[in-house]
Amino acid sequence: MGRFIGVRLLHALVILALVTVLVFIIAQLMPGDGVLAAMAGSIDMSDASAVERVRKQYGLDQPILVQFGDWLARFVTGDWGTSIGGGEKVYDMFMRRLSPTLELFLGATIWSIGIGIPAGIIGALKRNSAVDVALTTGTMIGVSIPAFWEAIMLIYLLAVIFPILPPSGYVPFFEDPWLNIKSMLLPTFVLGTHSAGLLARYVRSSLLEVLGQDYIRTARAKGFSERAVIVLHALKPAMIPVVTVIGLAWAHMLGGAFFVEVIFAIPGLGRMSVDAIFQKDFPVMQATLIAVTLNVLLVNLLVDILYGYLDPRIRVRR
Amino acid sequence: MSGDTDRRAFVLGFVAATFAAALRPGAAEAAGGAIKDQPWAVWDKNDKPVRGGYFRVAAEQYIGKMNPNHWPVNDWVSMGYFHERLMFNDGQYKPTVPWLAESVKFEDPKTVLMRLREGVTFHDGSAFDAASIKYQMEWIKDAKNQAWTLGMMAPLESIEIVDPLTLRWKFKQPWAAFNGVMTNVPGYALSAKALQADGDKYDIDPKGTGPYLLEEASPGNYLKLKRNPNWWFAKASGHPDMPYFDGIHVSVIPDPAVRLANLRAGKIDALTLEKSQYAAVRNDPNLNIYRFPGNHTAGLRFNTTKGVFQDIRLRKAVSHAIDRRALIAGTQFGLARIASCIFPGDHWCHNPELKPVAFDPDLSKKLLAEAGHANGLTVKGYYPNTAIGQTVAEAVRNMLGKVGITWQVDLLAPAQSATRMREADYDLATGGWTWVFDPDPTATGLYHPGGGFNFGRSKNDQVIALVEAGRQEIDLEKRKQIYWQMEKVLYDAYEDAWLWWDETVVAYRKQVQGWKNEGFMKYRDAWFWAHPLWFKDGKQ
Amino acid sequence: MNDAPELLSVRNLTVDFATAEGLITAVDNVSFDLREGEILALVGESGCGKSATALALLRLIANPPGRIASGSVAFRGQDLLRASEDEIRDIRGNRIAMIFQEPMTSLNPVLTVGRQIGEPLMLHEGLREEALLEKCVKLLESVSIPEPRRRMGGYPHQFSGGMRQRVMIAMGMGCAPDIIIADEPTTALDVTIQAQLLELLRQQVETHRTALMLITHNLGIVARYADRVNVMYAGRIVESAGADDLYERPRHPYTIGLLRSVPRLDQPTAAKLVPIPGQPPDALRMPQGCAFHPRCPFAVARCRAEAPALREVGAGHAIACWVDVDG
Ligand SMILES: Nc1ncnc2c1ncn2[C@@H]1O[C@H](COP(=O)(O)OP(=O)(O)OP(=O)(O)O)[C@@H](O)[C@H]1O
Ligand SMILES: [Mg+2]
Repeated sequence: MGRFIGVRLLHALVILALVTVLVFIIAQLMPGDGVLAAMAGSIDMSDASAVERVRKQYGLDQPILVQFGDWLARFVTGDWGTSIGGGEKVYDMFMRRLSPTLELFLGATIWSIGIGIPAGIIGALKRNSAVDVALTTGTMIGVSIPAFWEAIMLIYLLAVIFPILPPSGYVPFFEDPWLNIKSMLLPTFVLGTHSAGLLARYVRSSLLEVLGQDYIRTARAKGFSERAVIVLHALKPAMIPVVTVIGLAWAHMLGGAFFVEVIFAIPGLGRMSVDAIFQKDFPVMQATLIAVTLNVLLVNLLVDILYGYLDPRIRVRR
Repeated sequence: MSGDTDRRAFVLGFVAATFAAALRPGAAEAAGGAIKDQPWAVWDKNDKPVRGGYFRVAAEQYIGKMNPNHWPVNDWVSMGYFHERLMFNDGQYKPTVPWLAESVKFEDPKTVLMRLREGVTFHDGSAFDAASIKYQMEWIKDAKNQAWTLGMMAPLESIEIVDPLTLRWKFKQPWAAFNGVMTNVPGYALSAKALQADGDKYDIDPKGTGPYLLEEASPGNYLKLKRNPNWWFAKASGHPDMPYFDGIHVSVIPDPAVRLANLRAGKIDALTLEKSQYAAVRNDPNLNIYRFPGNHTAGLRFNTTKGVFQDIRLRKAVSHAIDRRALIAGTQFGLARIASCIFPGDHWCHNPELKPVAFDPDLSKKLLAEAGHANGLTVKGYYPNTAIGQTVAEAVRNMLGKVGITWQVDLLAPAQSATRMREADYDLATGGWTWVFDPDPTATGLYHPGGGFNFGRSKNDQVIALVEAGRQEIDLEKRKQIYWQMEKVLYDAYEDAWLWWDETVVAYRKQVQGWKNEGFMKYRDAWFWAHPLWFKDGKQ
Repeated sequence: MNDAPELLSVRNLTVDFATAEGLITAVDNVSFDLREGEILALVGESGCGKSATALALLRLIANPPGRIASGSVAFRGQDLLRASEDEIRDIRGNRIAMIFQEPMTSLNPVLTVGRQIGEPLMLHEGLREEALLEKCVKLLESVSIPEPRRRMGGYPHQFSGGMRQRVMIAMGMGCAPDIIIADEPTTALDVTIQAQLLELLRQQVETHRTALMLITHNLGIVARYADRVNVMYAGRIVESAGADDLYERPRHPYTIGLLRSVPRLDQPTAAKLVPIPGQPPDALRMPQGCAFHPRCPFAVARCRAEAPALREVGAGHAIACWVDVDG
């Protein structure tokens, strides 16, 4: 296992290096100029030289390779440059925005698992009953409802009409735990319901498949109650494919996190990265894409480890 | 601005909406006197403001850098809470209201004598005086400090300290826009002490003179400002309790619908609305809604030096093909005024003789035929890819289509449209701007060869001569005539197709007291800062 | 044997499966008894309903698609088909244990073998920790798993097919059940291990007076171990007799065919093997009358019209046939 993780980490490093170069190339291929774009909307209209000055300030007047070399040399020493769109140090920006996003992801995953897995199990157990149909419809809605619409509806319902939750905003947990939880309830729910719907469907079909297996009949023949059969015998094997879905959902959450963070005014990485792409804010783009890659790689690794835990056949093979 | 962004216009709109009052129109100087004698500073006798509460507002973006001369600054409204400018514009956007400066007088076209207010201190306790302003201006002009405003201060040659509160500014050439520049970014007074100590730190730890000082900054999330107990204006105006709020809380809320939800939920106290939101909230019993002219002109920009629009008949055909009234009703929710030229109707440089270009599709068809395009004309261009941008582009495309002009319009993100603009790679493109200070930058930016939005797409010698004349003429009345003339030339040449002048809508919770729309429209910024807002009973 | 107390009495058991094509009657009106210490063999061609019968006894037929349409299963006087969920769970794995046919898939791949063997003991006998461990080790030893202590921590995929089947048997014997239902317990195994395991089961029967229902289509095994034999064809029991009796004097044409089609140890190898002509009937299109008649060399008109019921033709010997052929 240890060797396996080591090899995977090595892979991750290589992929990271490739992504870094790729991001750089893509950023260069993207049409438009970040500084000009950002400044065109600012109040200085007569003075074209202002754009040049800012470009110089960010080193964008240098040849591409020099820019890349500079960036890389500074990046490895922890200096990730300065955001073109926001003027903040990218490293600080990144670190500050990491925890809201992590909290969002975590909360969303809790919702997703908390809703998706029970819904999937109930759906599988009460297969084709009214409950199952209701759940299937619910998960379909969960998957297909536009996040934006869902968010606005929930905000109006729970913050304006029945004002129990704040409409938006983020308060760090350590500043005000209760307000933090209250303000994260809706965003995590909105982000979580999407993967919850997906998860429920996977859990349902995976569990149905497992419940048809011979070893479940064996467990029943031992005298276990239906619940014990599911908990002790069916759930673990049924979770094997589901873990992949959870991992995928987590890896894909950054996309969803953008909307959710924008809508709920959460100062997180999702909002930061997409802003960066629109603004062609190269230093921020680099940092976030590396983070995205790292996230995906780490999640894959975690999924693999979990796989090993859940499925002894895989554990030995590696 | 490049015109695109209706979105940014809102942000900036609020800034411009907080610019000040007329004193002695026509004079090239701004003379002061006691604050309480100024017409814009007169209070309604019935107003009995009370202290207390944090005023909560929303910003679309986090402020960015808090030194206004460092790029980027994304929230100029908040900037105004802790930094004040030497001058304000009046209700006609004329830079005539002395604020931190007490008086400004042109001794000759290349020399200005400026007297500063007494008793003003920066948030770090240092004195606002001639020496601090001199240091600040030299700081801006020193390239190593990376002030993007350096170019704006280019005509400045030197500053001489006459006495602790008096400065003599000397210019390399006549500089009519000086007052205008002082109402703009370089005019924000910054603590010389703080700048000297650490110019970079100033970006996150600003020391202005304003009514609020920075309490806490959470980048990307919020700004918390607290009441400045030593605000000079409180003493000078005889209202020692100003400002009346304990502080201001600016939350960054990017989504407009969520901003409105926050207002309706009572989580923020004031909001500049999206036009689309106006109808939904105008009768909300919990809100007071105010409309006033904004400082944004929306228009379509022709490439008059390359391609088909060198022919004035075709520019004319486009301009007459557009039903501006329908465009405003259909895309701006009625919240705009039909534009007739580059400066808005309430701007001192707008020529009141000019009437909006008539909607006359038959004339357009005739002109097209005359120019040899009876069978249709295809032109290309771009427009912002925002939701509103798409609607406008689609509407205009349809109107042009009806007279036989096919507009191949690309909907672009700002970075891409900036490149297209730079390369003058269009026939007809988005082309609005937000007018925020002196008329020269607008005129130069759009029509002078060195302009940051021109890049060779417009070269009208008559206009260029007028732009250059406008820069030099320090007599406001004569200067006004120059810009009126320039507007006339632009209008007759169909240099661009101007569409509308914006309107801004703000909503306040009923709890917020003190806003008087007439006073604001008349005196703008000066009125705004001289008239406090407060919470009824001092409670949020 | 016949005087031993009756443990299980199955009457008119009918099991349906609702398939996409239509309703299959997998077990049709089956009745039989099982006594203490008796080894009862259930034989028949693949698909004739042996497993379905066995599963139905413990109400383990998957529903849907299956359903016990009618009948009764009396275990020590208690009708299992009408017992409460709690009651039947108390019997499953405890009083009546099942050893399943597919050793490769009948063990849970993600749980250790030790745990799976221990579960019935935990559940029914409340064994924990040390006691449980010891018992499991003993069980594994009894089915000749080498190094049982170490093997307990292993997973099924680390076991060979034969070892897995032995694990299944150990699992079934754990609670010293009154009845073991072994559904082809040795199909996957080579002959020596086969014999070993069957011997093991026989020992269990003898020492604990356990009843064993042995499902197989290996007639050799039947001959060697079984006391009684029920021959099934197309969901019905067509012949029921003492094992010796059956081998000596099969009375149903299907049984006769069956015996002729397999090599017998008590006959010279030269004796001709004759396969039964034709195919077992399609469960969806059961022929009218006796299900075997299309393949039966002795069929008469009545066979085509009317299905025969089981009738006594000798002491403890019954057949379902209109014609009484003396094989
Ligand atoms: N889950 C099921 N769904 C549909 N039909 C089934 C199902 N299980 C069994 N059957 C049908 O019931 C009949 C009897 O099946 P059963 O498994 O009892 O046969 P068997 O005698 O055990 O055969 P084998 O010797 O191959 O194990 C067959 O026709 C089979 O197709
Ligand atoms: Mg079977």
